[in-house]
Amino acid sequence: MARALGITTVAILAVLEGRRRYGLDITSETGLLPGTVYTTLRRLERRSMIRGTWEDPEIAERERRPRRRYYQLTPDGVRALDAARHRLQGLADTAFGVARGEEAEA
Amino acid sequence: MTGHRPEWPADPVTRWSRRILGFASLLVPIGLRREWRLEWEAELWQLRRPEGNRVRLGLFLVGAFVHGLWEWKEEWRMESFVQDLRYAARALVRSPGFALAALTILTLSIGANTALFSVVREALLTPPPYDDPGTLVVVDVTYGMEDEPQAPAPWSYPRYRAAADELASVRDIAGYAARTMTLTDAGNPAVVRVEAVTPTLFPLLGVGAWAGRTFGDEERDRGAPVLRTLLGHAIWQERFGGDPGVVGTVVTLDRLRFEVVGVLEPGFAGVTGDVDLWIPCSALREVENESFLDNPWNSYLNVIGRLAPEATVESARAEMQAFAAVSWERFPPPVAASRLTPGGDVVPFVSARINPGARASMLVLFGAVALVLLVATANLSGLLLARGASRQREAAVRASLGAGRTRLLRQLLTEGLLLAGLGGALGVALSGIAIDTLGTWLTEAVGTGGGRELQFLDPARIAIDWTVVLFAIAVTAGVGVVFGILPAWQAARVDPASTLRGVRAPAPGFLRARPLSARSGLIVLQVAVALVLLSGASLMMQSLALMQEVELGYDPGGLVTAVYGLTPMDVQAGVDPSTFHLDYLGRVRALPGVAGATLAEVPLGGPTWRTIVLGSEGRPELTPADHLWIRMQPIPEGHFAVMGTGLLEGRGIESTDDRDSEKVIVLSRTAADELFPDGGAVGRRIQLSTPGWGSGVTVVGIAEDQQMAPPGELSGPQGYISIRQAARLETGVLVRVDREATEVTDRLRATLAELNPNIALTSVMSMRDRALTVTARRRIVSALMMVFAAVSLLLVAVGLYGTIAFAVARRTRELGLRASLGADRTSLAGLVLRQGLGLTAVGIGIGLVGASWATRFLEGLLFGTDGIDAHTLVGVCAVLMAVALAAAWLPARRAMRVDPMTALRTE
Repeated sequence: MARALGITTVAILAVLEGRRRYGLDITSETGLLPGTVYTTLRRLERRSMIRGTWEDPEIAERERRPRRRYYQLTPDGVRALDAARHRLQGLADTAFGVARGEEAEA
Repeated sequence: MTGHRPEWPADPVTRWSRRILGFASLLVPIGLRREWRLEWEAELWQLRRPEGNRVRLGLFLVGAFVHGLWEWKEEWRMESFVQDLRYAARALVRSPGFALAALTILTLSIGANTALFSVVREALLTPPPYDDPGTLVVVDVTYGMEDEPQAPAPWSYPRYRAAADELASVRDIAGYAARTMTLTDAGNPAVVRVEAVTPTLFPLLGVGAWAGRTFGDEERDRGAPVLRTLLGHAIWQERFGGDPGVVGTVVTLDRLRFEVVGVLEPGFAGVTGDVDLWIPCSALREVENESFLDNPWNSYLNVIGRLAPEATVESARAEMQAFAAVSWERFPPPVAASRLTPGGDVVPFVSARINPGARASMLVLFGAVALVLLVATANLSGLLLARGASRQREAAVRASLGAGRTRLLRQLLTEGLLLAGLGGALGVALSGIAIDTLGTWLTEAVGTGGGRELQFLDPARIAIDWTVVLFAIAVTAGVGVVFGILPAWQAARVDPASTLRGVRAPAPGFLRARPLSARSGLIVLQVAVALVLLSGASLMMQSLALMQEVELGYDPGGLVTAVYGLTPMDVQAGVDPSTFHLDYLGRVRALPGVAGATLAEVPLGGPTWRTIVLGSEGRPELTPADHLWIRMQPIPEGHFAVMGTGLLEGRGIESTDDRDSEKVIVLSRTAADELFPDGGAVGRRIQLSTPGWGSGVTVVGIAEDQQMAPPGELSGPQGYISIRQAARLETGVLVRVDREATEVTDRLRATLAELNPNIALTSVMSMRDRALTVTARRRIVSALMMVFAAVSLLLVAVGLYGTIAFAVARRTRELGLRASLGADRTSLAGLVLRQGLGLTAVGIGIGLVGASWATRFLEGLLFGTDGIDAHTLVGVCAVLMAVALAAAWLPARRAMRVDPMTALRTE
């Protein structure tokens, strides 16, 4: 893998963990700026850590709104998120001097 | 996907928000744009519902722009550019022959352009490295002969003093005069270049001392000689070991002792260039004679100064003209110069130092090399076009797979840029490696001397630096875009469907087919430019040939030449120049390997002595208008035999023409014809302006004219007198040898050292080498022009062949059809040949116009031809036609052999 993931990237991956979401949803959840969120999403998509899919048109039609684009983690993304969490945990331990054990590992 | 359309509310915020999204979406590459917009609109819809939060909406819209920009950057960088580049590289690797040919052509032509640009920049675009060069001016006294235009002349010291005191619009006036002197230390005399300067020169230019000091008020002339000197940094390093202790010591110049007061900054080699030492003008009172600085008509100084802040060149010129008139009254001219009218001029230093001949050579070469680059670019563009045509299928596949037209266009452009970029990088590298050699070579070719003895071009300062690299980048980018764009434009018109189905464009008329018309245009361009280059080159060659044929009036074969000079100090010490020269000549004539030797002015650049014929027998009082300047040479007996110069009448100088006998002169044919138009010169007397010769000398013979000046210049009337009756300090030595010249030159030096170890033999060269040096500029310019013309001719041949072969291949079906309908083979070949020659003819037509315009720039370099003439043009056109015929012949033969059956079956 290329560079270690930044904290914002990790946050976005974490929001997507276990469910699919659309852009605005991610923006409100993470509190990041929209410009950051979308470019990060696109980059993650190109690095195959997440996959974007268009919403079923029937749902959109039923709700009389445009189709949304949902994002979900790929297996690569899951692995990357784990690795990043592990690394950040290590960094946090060093920074705060607290040994917390390994229970954060999924 | 477009099954339903959400109903957007019509409020202005929503409307504007959507509009802004639409605007941001333009940043997104076209392939991604639709989806991008759909996604953002869905988000906008979502955002709209919790009504009201404007800040959030603002951030959202900014986010859309950020994202759009990012996509744009990403597309350019990742998605396409690198990919395009990789693809282009792969395409080139796949056809190594093409890549190699293209790269070689590009490397050489961009390299040559870059190298020449660095020379042109140094010579013509870079100001000299002095303080505020823009306000430096050359101040000239000028003289004109009645109606003739005024020409600049050197200044005398008294005039310089007056100007320095009186001119208001030019300040800090300084004078300089270059000379050679003999430096004797550690036993080996060396001839060094010395500038005699006024102390004001150094502050004027802003040149400081590296050690010690420069000249100051102490060195200003006060009527007594000041024997002090400044060393140049280079000679200080080489000859004095870079020892700062040299300041305060004494060096010997022309056997006079000079105190070293300082060493100048590195990089400064005098305004005249290549100067080793500087002496104050007042030293000339000792070096030459006591009153050397007092005679207002002893003119040897060049004068420069700085324009006063409120003055302009025009106002300074006006003031200088007035000054010249006043100074004419103050210093009345000697009789001999009475036909002169005085004038003055002020010229910016930057333009005064330009040597017009060298500038012309440089610009001609630069122009020629740019034309070669043009031909090369056109040629490569043609090659890429052909490749583009053969890759139409590939383009169609890519287009049908969804590559946008712009994407395809960019792909081909990238290939052009990649080639140009590689060629440009290699070219800069090449010129960087070759610049030292090339710089020296070119400066030798074009010369470094400019007006008023100023140095025009300092070879040491020619370098590849960032401006040169910028130039190379600009050229490269231009080339890349130009030859990338045509093929790209052509390929972008591909219709994927028909190409993939294998349908070719209906067999087109030769010149009308789209890709062909572009290629035809390129061929026409190449032919036209090649014609311009060829005409230029052949004119230069013609000039050279004519120069070889100039009647020299002497035999240059096996003639070794050299120069030496006594100093006034030697004369003061009791040496008689005549006796010394004859003594030396006697020893030289006795040397083994010497078939004959004489003393005289060395043709093409020895010392020149002119005198005025004031009257001749029959016309005792020539009016000033009839005064004739003749080139005087003191010679020993046997001179004409050694030189191989014919005596037309009377006799030559004999050993009996000595101090006690009657003064005699031998005239050249031109001199005799001028002075005695009716003939019968021998036995008549003429009066000369030389002191002591006014009472008259007897003409004893007439000799064939000798070409003393470089070819292209008139040598004028000449007179030979006996070296026993009058000798100069300096003389040339001309030795006819019958063995290795180096062996003899060593003996010549040794013999001179036996007589006086403080005199150096300089400018030792065979007469043939001397002639070559004089014509070096023309020869090198001609040789380079020939190379450029040959290269462009080769490119034309290749380009033409490629184009016609391609056309024949495309028309196989049509040719087959014609053959099957009974067209005979020669007519098919004729069809192809005619088309090739037709293109060439169009190119020639355009080229002729170009050549008649472009060859005017050569005029200054030509000799014996005034510019383009019919013979040259016919010859050049014939060469081009022959090349075109040869290039078209192979494809024509192929057309002749088209088998109708195969041709028709292939489609």
